Amino acid sequence: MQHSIKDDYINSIKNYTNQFEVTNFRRIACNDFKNWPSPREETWRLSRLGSLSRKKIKPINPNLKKNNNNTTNLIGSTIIQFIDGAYREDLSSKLPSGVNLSVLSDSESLKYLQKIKKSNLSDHPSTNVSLSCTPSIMKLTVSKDIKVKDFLEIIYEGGEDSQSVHPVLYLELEENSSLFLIERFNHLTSLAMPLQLIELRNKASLNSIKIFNDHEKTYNLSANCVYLSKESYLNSFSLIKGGIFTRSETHAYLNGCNSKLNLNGVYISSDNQHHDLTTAIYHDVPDCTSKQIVRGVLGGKSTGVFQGKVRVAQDAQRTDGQQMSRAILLSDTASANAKPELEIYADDVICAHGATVGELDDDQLFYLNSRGVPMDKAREILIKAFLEDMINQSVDNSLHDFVFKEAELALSSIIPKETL
Amino acid sequence: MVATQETIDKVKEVTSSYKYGFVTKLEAEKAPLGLSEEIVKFISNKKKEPKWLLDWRLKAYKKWLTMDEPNWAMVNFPKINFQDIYYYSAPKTKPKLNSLDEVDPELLKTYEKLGIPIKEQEALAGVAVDYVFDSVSVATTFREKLADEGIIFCPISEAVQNYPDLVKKYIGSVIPIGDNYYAALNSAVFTDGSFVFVPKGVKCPMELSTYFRINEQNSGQFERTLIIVEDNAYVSYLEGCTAPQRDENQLHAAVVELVAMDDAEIKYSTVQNWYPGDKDGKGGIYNFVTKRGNCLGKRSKISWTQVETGSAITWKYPSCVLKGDNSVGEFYSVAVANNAQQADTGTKMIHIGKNTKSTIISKGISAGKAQNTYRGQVQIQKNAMGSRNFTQCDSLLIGDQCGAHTVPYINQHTPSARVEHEATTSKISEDQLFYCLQRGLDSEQATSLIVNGFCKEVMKELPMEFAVEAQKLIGISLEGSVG
Amino acid sequence: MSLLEIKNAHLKLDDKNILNGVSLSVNKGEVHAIMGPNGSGKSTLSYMLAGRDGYELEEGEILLDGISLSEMEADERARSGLFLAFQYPVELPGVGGMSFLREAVNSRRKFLGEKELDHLAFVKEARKEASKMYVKDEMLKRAVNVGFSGGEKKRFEILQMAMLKPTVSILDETDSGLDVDALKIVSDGVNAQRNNDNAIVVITHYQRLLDYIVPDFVHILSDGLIIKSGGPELALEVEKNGYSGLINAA
Repeated sequence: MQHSIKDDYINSIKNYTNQFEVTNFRRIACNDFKNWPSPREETWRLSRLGSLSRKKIKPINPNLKKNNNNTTNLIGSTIIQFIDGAYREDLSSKLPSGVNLSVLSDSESLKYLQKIKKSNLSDHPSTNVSLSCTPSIMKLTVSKDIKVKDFLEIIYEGGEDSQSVHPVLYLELEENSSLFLIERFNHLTSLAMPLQLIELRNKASLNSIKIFNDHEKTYNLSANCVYLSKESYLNSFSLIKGGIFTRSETHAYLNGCNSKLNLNGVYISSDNQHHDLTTAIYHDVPDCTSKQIVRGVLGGKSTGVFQGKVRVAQDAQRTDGQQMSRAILLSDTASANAKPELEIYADDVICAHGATVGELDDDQLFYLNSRGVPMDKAREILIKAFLEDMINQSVDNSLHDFVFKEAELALSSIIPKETL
Repeated sequence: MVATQETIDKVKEVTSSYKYGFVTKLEAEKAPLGLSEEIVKFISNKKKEPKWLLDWRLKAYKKWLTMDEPNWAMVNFPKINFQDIYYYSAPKTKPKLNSLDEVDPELLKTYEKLGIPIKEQEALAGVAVDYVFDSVSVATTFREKLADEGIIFCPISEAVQNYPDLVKKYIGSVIPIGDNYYAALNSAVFTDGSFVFVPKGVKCPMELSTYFRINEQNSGQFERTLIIVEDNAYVSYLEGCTAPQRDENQLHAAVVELVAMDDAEIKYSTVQNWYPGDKDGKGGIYNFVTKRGNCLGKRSKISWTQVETGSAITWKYPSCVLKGDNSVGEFYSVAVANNAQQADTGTKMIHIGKNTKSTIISKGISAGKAQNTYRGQVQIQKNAMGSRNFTQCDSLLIGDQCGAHTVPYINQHTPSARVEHEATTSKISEDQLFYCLQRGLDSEQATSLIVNGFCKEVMKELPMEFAVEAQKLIGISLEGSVG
Repeated sequence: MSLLEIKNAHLKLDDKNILNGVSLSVNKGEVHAIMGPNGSGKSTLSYMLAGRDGYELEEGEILLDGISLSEMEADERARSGLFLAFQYPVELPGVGGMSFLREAVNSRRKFLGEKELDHLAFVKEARKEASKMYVKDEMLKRAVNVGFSGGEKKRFEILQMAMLKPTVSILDETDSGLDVDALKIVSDGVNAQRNNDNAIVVITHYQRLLDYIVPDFVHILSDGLIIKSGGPELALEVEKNGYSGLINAA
């Protein structure tokens, strides 16, 4: 058989990991990467990687001298910088007390791999490739009872054309701790494969904002595995706007009673962008709550995908699982796909989902027109309201403006301007 | 419909000698076990089919050989050995019973609850010949009346002989032979089914029902139905029977194709109550059905209504392809799964024409250890400007051993179209149960009442004569699921 | 023999004592009112009598016409002639009012050994009773309690009572959510059903209902115990001085 480009990529990973022992986590992960997911796989049917698999790429060898881009509108006072997928202490701030960042040892890395492998992310390409090629798994820990006041900001940058980057993070919030985390993906690379394992111990609370704003040629296949313990709380919001192809896939396991999850997201897509928000929420114990609001605005020839599964196990009585997704198409050539899915094995539950795809409401547009607002302005007002309302619900007050501005920047290119 | 002695005698006179010979002849005419090109030829030959149909069957058979069984549905069952099935034994004679005394008492109990007249009970259980005679006469008068209007309603095997052009034009036009594994299988080996043609401007004056058709009796396994309704015409078609039918066939892979021209309307109602297997999931029918309607004409309308309470496994997605501008597709479904039943059912609405509209109302009820999945796709294609879909999917759980799943797929490619999907899952509320109990209803009555209320939006779409029995049926299907 | 006999009823909910030895004896032809502040156990008492799951007695006994209810399920109690007019009647989406009534009436008739009413006879009877309660035909076609106003719900409860002809009726806060006009209609409906063979227990927080349905006896329930019993004048005392005076005195 002819050597394909796809095989080249697999081989380059193999070559790299071959230098390690067979029991090393990199070797194990590498063995599990057989191929890119095929469109015959149910969760990749709507987000096909055909063109990616035809690209000539290889894992990056991080340049530890490379400087950052000096991102201007920093939010947090504490910055953690990743470049080329590698943590750069020299460019990062000193961490507040109670917060610790360390490199996982090989044996710890193996445990990390085992935890991810127990989840439904075990076959995700980012799981296997990033664990094979990451410079190192970075663990961010917030100690017991520590409530971190400042925002912590992680910035992912770097990468090169024809190369893939592999930042791997392990975030652990110990009992009764809390953290506010902002992550920004600004890669300049062909492929970014961020992998994260998040563990929230009893009563821990995490506010998380992720902004995907990679370069217009970047593929970003973000994979996130979250475990929630008793009475823990995750409030997560993702804004997807960058890249040629961005898919954020999150699997959240509610393993402790009375844990609470908000898993919200917005995608704003234009030109030929493909944006995909895939989530799976597993209610495995009683008395947990999950809420999900997803909104998409699509222009140009873009495609949006929302796949959201909520599974309620037989023991997970009194589960409250709600999900609502809405997408607005602004151009004739854009398309939106939604697959909200309920899989329920317990009877005492309140579960509901709703999904709508359509255009802006005619009545609302007319109402604004009748008050003298021109059509394009009216559209803009309604689209912004569509997002603002949702951002206000999902994001901490102090960050409304920042997040909304980020959204607005992306909107500017897709709101249709009628000739005046 | 008790036949008068006169009718019985008359029919006996005409048919008895023939019937006798027919039965003996049959014994010799069983195809060997399994499926091969030879069997397909055998079936086609038996039915004296024209060459084009044989070729069509063979093409389907070859296609089938290359295909895999679908595995995406949330159903589990042991692999079917397709070489262990008789593909031609029709018209098969059920073992004749002499009286209702020989019939399974459980079956009789159900008939009694449904209020089915003795005559019909006998026919359903395979006793007696009176009813069959009766039915022959009914069917005959019935067909004459329809013929006066220009409506053709006959077995599809007859249509192949008498209206080959119509059959050739439309068979496989909605569901191509390679559409899916079971449709390909059906195309290769279908034995019989119904054919309906309603010409321009004719509103069919009565509900057409397979119920009246005696030749239908043994063609259930690989049934093929084709309904064509021309411009401005209308038909309402009822399929199935509310009483559980005795049936030895494990696998049912039927295909139903509907074609509606400009301003035509087809209403297709099904009450499916095949044997669901016992409490532990032993036995029961595998019901793998492909049903699709083509709204070819402008302003055409196809409406599917189904009440699915039977079968061990249901795999069924009656769909609409909305090609004609302003055409309308509807899907109203109640699926009840109790004990070890598994149902994966739903619909596809493919919007191709402008301003097309579709409505999906699905009510799933799970009890016992059953798994019940709604799976539906709504696709709005590029040129389907101004199209609308509304989907409402509700699931009800009775007991904590069962599952209810909702898997909708929405693909939208047109900004001026709108798709709305809503789904809820809940259990029967204790408040509602207690309220009914306090009024003196026992818990089974109360459950049946509440569940029927839950299904009301769908049940009201059924033709009256079906609705009452279907309502009772839901109650019966859920027996033993409460308390 | 009394029609309803509650003997030393004790009941716990979530390990909390709610009824602490309620005893009450209701004879044929009598109307009893049970009054009490919020949280005194009034609604619990009505659920306990009607046999709701989870409201089983810890101790004590209830007799309906001499027959013990404790082993009976809620539906058996109902068919035996115990009726509860709910404080918050439950919505039954998709269940038509007329067919619901018929199921209920025929269940009761069957129990009493009477012939089930055929469709026509039933509809005639239902319409007759409905008109007395100002319940329009249109309302009987709607789903039970769905989209009914507060007044409509209560009228429909009393209509059911009229149709079922119970021996003992418990009216749980039937006045809640009613304006004066509706209160009058509902009370008239209840009064019309008073006779020498049945009995009615009215559970209420306020005295005003008792102006319309005049009781023979009034009992004050506090902390799961009847602390005082008397005639209609006791209700007026509550109206004047509130519950606290009575409770403190007890």
